[in-house]
Amino acid sequence: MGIITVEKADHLYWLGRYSERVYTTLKLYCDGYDSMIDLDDSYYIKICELLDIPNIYNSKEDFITRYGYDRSDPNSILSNLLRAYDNAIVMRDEIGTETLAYIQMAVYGLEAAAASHAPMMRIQKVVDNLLAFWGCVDDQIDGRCVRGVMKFGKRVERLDLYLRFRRSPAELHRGYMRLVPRAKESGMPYNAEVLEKLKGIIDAPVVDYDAALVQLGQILNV
Amino acid sequence: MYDLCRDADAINEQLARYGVKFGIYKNGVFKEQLFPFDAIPRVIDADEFAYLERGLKQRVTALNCFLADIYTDKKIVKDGVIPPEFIYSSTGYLAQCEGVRTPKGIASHISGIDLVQSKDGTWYVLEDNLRVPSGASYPLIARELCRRASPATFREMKIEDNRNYAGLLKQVMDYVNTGGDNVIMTPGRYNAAFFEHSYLAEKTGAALVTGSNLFVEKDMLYYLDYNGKKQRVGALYRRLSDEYLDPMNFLPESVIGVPHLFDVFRKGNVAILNAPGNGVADDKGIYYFVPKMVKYYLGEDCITHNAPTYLPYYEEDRKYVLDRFDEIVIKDVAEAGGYGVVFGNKLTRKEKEDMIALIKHEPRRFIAQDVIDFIDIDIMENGERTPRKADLRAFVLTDGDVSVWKSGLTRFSRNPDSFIVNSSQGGGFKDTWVLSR
Amino acid sequence: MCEKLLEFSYEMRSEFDREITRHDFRLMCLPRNGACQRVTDVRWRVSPYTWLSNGQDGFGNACIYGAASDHHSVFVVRVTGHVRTGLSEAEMPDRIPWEVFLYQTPVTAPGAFVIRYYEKLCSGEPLSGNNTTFVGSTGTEADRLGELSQGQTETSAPAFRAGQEENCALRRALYFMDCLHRDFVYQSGATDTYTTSEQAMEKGCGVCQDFAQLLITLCRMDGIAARYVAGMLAGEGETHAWAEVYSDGRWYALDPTHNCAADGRYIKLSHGRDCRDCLVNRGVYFNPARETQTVRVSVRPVSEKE
Repeated sequence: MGIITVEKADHLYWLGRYSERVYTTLKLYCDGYDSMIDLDDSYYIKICELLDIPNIYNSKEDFITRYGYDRSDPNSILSNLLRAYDNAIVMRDEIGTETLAYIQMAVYGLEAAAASHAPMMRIQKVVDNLLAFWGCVDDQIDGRCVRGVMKFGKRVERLDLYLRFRRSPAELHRGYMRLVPRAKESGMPYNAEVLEKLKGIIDAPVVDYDAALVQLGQILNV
Repeated sequence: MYDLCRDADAINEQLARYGVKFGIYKNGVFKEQLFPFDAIPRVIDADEFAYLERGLKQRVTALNCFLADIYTDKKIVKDGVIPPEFIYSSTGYLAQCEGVRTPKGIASHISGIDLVQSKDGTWYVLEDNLRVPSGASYPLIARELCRRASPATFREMKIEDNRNYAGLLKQVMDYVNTGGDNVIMTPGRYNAAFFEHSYLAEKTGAALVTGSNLFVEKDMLYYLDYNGKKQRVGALYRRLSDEYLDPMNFLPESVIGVPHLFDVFRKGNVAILNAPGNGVADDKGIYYFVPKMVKYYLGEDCITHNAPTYLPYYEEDRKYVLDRFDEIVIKDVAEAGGYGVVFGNKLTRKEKEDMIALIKHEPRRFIAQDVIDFIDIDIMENGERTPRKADLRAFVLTDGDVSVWKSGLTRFSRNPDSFIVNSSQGGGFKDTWVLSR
Repeated sequence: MCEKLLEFSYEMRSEFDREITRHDFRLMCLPRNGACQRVTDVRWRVSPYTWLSNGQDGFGNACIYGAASDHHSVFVVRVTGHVRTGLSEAEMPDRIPWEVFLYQTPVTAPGAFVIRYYEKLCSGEPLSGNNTTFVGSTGTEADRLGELSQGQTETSAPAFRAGQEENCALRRALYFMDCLHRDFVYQSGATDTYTTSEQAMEKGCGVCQDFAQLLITLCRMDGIAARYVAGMLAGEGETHAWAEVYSDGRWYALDPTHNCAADGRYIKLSHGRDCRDCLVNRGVYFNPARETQTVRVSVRPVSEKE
């Protein structure tokens, strides 16, 4: 497919962002789940702070259920996955039924995990499907701009999360270096100045994480 | 076939994987529901299909002649074959279409003809759907999966491959295209048939758009690509009803349409599939006249059979309807999707009296039909074969030629007592096999 | 027949309390050619616009349509020109068959109030405040026709009077017009463009649109084809509406608001099954804004030197 509309580019970008958000936060969630078994009951409070989401949870059990699978919690992993799905379902004609199926299966997988006695065992399926989704994107989607826009979204999201998690400068640098070519390839109008400023902040001796997040939030403001 | 039933669950799982769903609103909340698939196919042998093919081609050809005539010369009315009341008081008649000549003279490009087979083997046409008939995508994707589940069946049975549907559809779009891209217009993902819209866009290579992506400039239809470049649309396969197409020419409150779209069409600068105004030809009241259309336009006897139908509009028929009230089914011509259908023998005395009064008061609003005792088809339920009512929607595509897709959508009712097979009323579907010899 | 040359101007000015964008419009404010009138010249100006086009609708009414995409808070349409009117006493049939206008639309469909009124007219019961009846009445219609021709010396009433002897549909329509004029009260602002015949009858009052649609409703109930006409009337004011009734192979224009034939003093813009087919202007735009619309119509005869 050659031509996509502005609206479609938007869906692809957010499909990239949300599927990456789910993928990365799932790992965080699983680590937290493990910690809270017998090590650190308040670990979830830290997760909320890192993600900058309101701590509306009453206990670690409440967090594990609601943050994981509650549709009515807009910050839950399931809500984010459903947003990825919402953006994917309208893009069947561009990304293809085969590719779309992996997002669909990730949704089924997370719903199954929610209903399971041992959700962590099931979450592996969700992660597998998300990885297969990106594999399928590379393998099956011919349109460069379609792929480019999705990957641009993915890289923006990853850097965003790394900044929130206060990852090491080396990791940030790597995240940044992977973002730059994607921005260019996407063909989307992005703010090149923002990219320059981000570079300055990330390469500084002391990283100002919040300033970097503010900059990253401006990347599409041209 | 044994393999298929054995693997029915696996096939349904795959259908879920590919998101083969339709949307419904329950208590105002949108829900996506899987469309249950039953693995036992409807099988139509080669001779039988050849008969249906001849009949359906003839029928759709006549219907296209009718549509071209009715919005221009109206010969069929002037010659007294159809009373004007059945045209001009029909909600499907759109005065806006008066005088419009459609690209290549085709109005119904994709026609969905609903048939049932009676116990004596006769096929009856129940309904012509010439507006936005849906459902082809379901057997299309199901076939793909059935072949995976049971290659042996398809090796041995000599079944016509139905996976050319997207190809046929693309040919039709290309044929009527007035210069520009092929585009499929959907009301959006919360439409019942969104799966189909997106699936057909993927398979035909047409761009999938909503009304908000389209715009008109100086009698041309365009959409914007993400670089802000205008792309002209030459063929618009729209999957929303006429009244929502264009707030400047139809319902002013439509927010999903494209202002001035109809003016572009009127000037011949875009093909709309199917053409606006087709409702005048698939109205339940006009159905009665289809065999007469075949005779009138083609000079041939109608090959397909209509279910025996009575118009209370004619006194003789009204008498028949009132005399045999308990043996007939009454349909409100304004309703669709299995609604407005009443079986005479299912009514209480009071309901019956009210209905009769209504028929006498508004005879034009109803048609009555003999209840056809149609063949049940087996479905698998809890591991056992159980008979259920089923119909067949045949798809007829018109470009330079008229062709009948060698398959179709077989829908069955899941409720054993129901005669109504409609996906919006909770039915399932089957693949339809046409044997090649 | 009294031929006239009329000079007209139509001006529509919409003001929005905030700027709007992506404004699509469709205007049916150009006079229509026919047996009764011929447009000798016409000029129009629309401002602002991004693109503009014109064509016809299904009934053959002329339309101007287009879009104004940029921000604006004022939208003006001005049409001026000359029309030669009074060329014939009735319109001839065109390619749209008269039967199209024989059936009620959702707007004209009668409900309980209209049905009761219609039955009263048919049964010959005395009308409110008046003891005129139709059945058995001696020459009520003829009287009205007489008035038509006497009161307005320039009307085409003689033709109507000549027609009525063999022409039953026109007689009935004139009777309905007569009754409506007597029983239905003109009151501006009582109804809006969405008011149906039934709602208007229930209120008992309305404007020219309601008079026209009620006459159409009654005619159709009686098996007479009737259509809605949007147009302009000699003098100054807004646009006007009346009806045309199909009788003996021709369309006769009746103005129930003034209870007279719509003759050479009238300029016809468009016709259709009801007011929705004849909307003089339609528009949709993107931003929510409050719209204030003023319409100024002026029609005056031009004296022609022999």
